[in-house]
Amino acid sequence: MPLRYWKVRPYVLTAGRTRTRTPLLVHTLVSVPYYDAVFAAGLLPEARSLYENARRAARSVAELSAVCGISLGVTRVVVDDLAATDRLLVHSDHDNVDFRLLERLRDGLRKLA
Amino acid sequence: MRSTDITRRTTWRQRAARWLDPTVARWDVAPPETPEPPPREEPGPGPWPAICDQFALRILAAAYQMGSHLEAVEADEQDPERLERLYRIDHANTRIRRHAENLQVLLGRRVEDADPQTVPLVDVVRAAASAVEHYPRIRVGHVVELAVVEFAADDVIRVLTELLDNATRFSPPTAAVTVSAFVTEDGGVLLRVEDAGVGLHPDHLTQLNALLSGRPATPVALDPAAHLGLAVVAHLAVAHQLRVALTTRPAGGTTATVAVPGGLLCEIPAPAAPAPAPPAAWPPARPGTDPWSTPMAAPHDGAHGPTVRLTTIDGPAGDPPPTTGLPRRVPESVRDQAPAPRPPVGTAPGSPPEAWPDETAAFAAGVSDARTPTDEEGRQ
Repeated sequence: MPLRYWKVRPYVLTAGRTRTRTPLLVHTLVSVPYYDAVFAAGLLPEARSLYENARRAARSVAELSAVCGISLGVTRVVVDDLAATDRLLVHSDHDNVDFRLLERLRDGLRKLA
Repeated sequence: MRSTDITRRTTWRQRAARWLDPTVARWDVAPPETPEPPPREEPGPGPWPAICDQFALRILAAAYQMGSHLEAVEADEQDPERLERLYRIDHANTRIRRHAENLQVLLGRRVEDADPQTVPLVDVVRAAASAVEHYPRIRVGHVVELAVVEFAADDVIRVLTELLDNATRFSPPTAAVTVSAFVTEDGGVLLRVEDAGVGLHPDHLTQLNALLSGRPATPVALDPAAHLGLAVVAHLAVAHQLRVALTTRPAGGTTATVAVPGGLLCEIPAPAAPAPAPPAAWPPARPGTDPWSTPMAAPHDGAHGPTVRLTTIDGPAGDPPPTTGLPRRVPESVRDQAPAPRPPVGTAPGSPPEAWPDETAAFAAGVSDARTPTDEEGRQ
């Protein structure tokens, strides 16, 4: 997607909204449950770019923002809008943190270093 | 002698004040009976247009500057509350810019675009909405995939801004205003702005349409100060041969249409890079170097196959990282403007983009591998 014209201000992309219904952190992963090309064609450029980029693999919000060249604040709201209609799946990552696994990973990485 | 002197000075002051502010005329306390020569020559424009133009330019320069700073801050802001405030500041700044530009238009000057470029219609619509006070109520309907050429894009945006502003201003504060763009039979594009306001009186409508078509039938009938926006529209419509019209819808509300002639339109220019490369300064498309540009269908070769060797977590630390090792992040920001040096890659590329899903699988394999020894340890 080309950079949008400089006169298109970021607030107009989200109708001035900055808050999201679900908490979307920079590392929250999102993916496309089922890809719909017709739906994608009808989206505005930013939403379309995010939708297309999340289709290939689950990606974090920060990654999507960087890849699509859309600021984080706008990315969050647009992703949230797409998630509200189940076009994007937000993988909430609070429930299944396995601390034992993380500790082992940490130890393994220490050994590598 | 002294009294006449005072009178003369007062009238001089009054005249100066009237020059600066026409409303001053209403404050006149002294009767206009002065020994002035009756044929008060209506002077030409004088120095004021040039001065106003200068002021408009300075306001514009300040607004541009503020806009670019704001953009940088907005991009980094993560707190919704502060971002919302920044948006409000940005919005106010955008409206300042719009008014300064309109002043230049009404002065008959051509507004210098800071960055002239061909603008897709969808961006024309959204750029226009950016400068409207009640922009959240604007809905973007179907917009045809065409662009407005460089030299007219900015003016079409200004025209649409004023029409959107009128539509949002003169319709209920909860009603949406829809803007859409369709191709017409003659190869032009019709921009439509539809509101749900109370509509206009037929007489008023005729007058406004006459003004918009550049031939105001009865100049006295319209208060120019009440139709600043439409005056701007009329100016620009004449300059670019746009046909602007207002119509009342039987169902209620008004529809403003702008017919953009085919000569001002073109295809949306293809992006320079084949991929959504955010900054313009990415190294020019070299296949396979941009981690996101390679299609997933790119042929896989053996070297990039799944990496199940993650069990080497206990292996010798001094080993050179295997080419099919852990999924590796590219240690640079993809938003970097400068063409940052690529991470040094060995003879074989470490983590080709098409290996991403494989690496994800490999990561999962690694996780399960890490789990298994735990069980063994537990048994021991």
